[in-house]
Amino acid sequence: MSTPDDSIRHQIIEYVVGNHVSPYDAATIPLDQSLVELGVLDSYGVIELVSFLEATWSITIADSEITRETMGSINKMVSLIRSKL
Amino acid sequence: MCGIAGYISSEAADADVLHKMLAAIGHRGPDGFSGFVEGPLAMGTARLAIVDLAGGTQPAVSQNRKVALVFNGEIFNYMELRAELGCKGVSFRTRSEVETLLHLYLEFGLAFLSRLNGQFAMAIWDGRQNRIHLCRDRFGIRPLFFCKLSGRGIAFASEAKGLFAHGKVAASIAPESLVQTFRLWTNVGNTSAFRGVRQVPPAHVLTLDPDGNESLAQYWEWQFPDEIEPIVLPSDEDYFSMFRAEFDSAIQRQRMADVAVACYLSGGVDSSVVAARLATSQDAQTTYSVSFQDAEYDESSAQRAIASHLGVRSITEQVTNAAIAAVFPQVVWQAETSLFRTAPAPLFLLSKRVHADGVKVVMTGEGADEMLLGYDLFREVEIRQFWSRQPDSLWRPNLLSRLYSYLPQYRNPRYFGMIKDFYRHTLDTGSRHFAMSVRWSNGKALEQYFSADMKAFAQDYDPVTELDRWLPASYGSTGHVSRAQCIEIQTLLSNYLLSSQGDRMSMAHGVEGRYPYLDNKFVDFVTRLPRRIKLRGLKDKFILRNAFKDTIPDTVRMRPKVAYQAPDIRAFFSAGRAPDYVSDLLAPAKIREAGFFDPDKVSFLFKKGLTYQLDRAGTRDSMAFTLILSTMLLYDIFVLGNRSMSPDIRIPSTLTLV
Repeated sequence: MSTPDDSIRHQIIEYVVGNHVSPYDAATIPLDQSLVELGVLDSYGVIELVSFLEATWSITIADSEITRETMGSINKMVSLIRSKL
Repeated sequence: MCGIAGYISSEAADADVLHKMLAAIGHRGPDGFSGFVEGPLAMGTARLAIVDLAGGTQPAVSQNRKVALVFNGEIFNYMELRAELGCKGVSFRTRSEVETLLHLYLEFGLAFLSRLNGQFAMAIWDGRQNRIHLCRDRFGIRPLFFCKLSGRGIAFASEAKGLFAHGKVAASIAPESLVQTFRLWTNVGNTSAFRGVRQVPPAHVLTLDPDGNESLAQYWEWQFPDEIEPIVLPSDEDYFSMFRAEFDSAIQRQRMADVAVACYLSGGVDSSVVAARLATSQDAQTTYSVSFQDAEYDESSAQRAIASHLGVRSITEQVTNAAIAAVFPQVVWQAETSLFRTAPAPLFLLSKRVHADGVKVVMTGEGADEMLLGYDLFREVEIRQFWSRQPDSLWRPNLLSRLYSYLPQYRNPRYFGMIKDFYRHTLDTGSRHFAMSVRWSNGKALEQYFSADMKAFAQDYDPVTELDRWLPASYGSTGHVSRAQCIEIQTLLSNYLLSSQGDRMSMAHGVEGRYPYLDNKFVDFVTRLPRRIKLRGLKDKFILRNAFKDTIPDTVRMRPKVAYQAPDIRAFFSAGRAPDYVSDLLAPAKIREAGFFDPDKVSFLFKKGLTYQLDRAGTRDSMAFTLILSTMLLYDIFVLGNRSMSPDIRIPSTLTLV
């Protein structure tokens, strides 16, 4: 069983714009840039985000995956979650 | 130790106006008000009697009544200076500091300022030249604000509320101050939170005439350690022994008082060493500490360890989240600025306890982190520089795991990959403010909360340019660690630790702080110590931790640096509720009326506060919330006059004229 990408993406976007103050809304938030570099999340915000992803999809994100390469954009997070479902 | 206030007017000065100004800062000196009123000049003090309990009457006035001086603080070498004047044939009526200062001025003019070892703010009226000199100590331990009066004249006071009590000075929030405190954490240079109200910068003397003509002169400048000849000794042990001797002398000088001296004990190495050395120099010793309901911030086990090791009487003020929230309006009223942390609140509660115990003087460990390189910021700068020399190195960035062990995102190895990625973009050592770039870009992100008007203002106003005006000429050519040290001294130390957490919180209850690590002679000494004896590799405060090896327990001595902080946003929310005043001040209509912030974003943050799940809120949310709430309190208290604020100690009712 797998969840379609669009739904995952939608939930991540809803979480990010609903929990972190930024100049973006659900329609304008960039999907392929790092949320840390955009200033949307500070380092502690990443902890909150990881907790959200793990709880929402009942997955475990490994330490080695909490990097720019694997999680450094909303679309990268979608792929990461897909790979774990 | 006192509060001082005064003004020069275009007409004859009025003792009643002076009385009102002193009453507004009466918490600083509940032992009596006295003043000098002559022609257009009025100046006076609210006195806290510590040295020469009977004889220290102020203002000190010259025999011909042409020169008068009011003073807030302590001069630790005044007996030496007094003896020197005695040799020159000056005779004294009292043994007070203030009379000595007056004679020093009459003898040497303003050149005497650079000879003072002390913490002070003073005003010297010189009727011979028809002008007033406003002077402040090296680090700004004691505050001094001034403003021009509408029409003609000037006013000064230890706190801005003393100026507002004059009746001709209206309070409005300076937008510059908001941009400064959001980005840099504090006001900078001579600015304050209020339009038209300025501070005399530390180590400066400002000369004003009644027409408002002014000249500002700096009488001392902290020297970059890289630019002066270091003390060279054969071994570490030689440095340790010299350090012990210098530190003990500083303690001896600073414990000067005709009353008992207690000590604040945080649980860290800085205040533990102060407590230990102070305990050896007086019979009975009491330490005061704060403990927190919230275990994340509590340091009471370390406090107990050191107190029992030293055998001192230790008193602990238990601070709950609810108490922080309840007292915060009064804290902002005393601090008179937007605050980026709630950490002043527990210190406000602690000084209340100290006052209730009848204690007037406390020593603290403030200044050690700046002087002896204790902050993680300095280690962060070293690591980033080291990494930047080989950006592809895989192991160099691993050193970052040794920073900020008190923050969850650093403490938890899970997030280390992200921390490395974050710092990877901060390696441009060519940047003038390389050391501060991480902190300041975090601060800039908080501008998202500004209203459209404030955002437009922040587009055109750069607080770093303002700060640059006050930095030494050689700032750009010295090392990055020294630059960070310089900025920390000018911003965090002067305009937050010594003021918002220091003077304002202790003087709110007539308690005077003493800071042996900032003793002038001691500072001159440690500045000349080689860097590697202060920061050895990544071992912070190396000399302090080793010089007093046998004095304090190893568990405390080798504890990693823990920043003293208090619960911020979390203190204001309990079981999905916030205190009424918080809900009222952050309501969209009120936010819109004040005009500083975006009502939707503030509501967003407020709702987030109501529903927090995690143990500790993120730094960004905490800081944003504390800055916004404190700014709204500042607006409500000072601009709208909506809250009638009063100190919780007794204020004298009469003014004695000299």
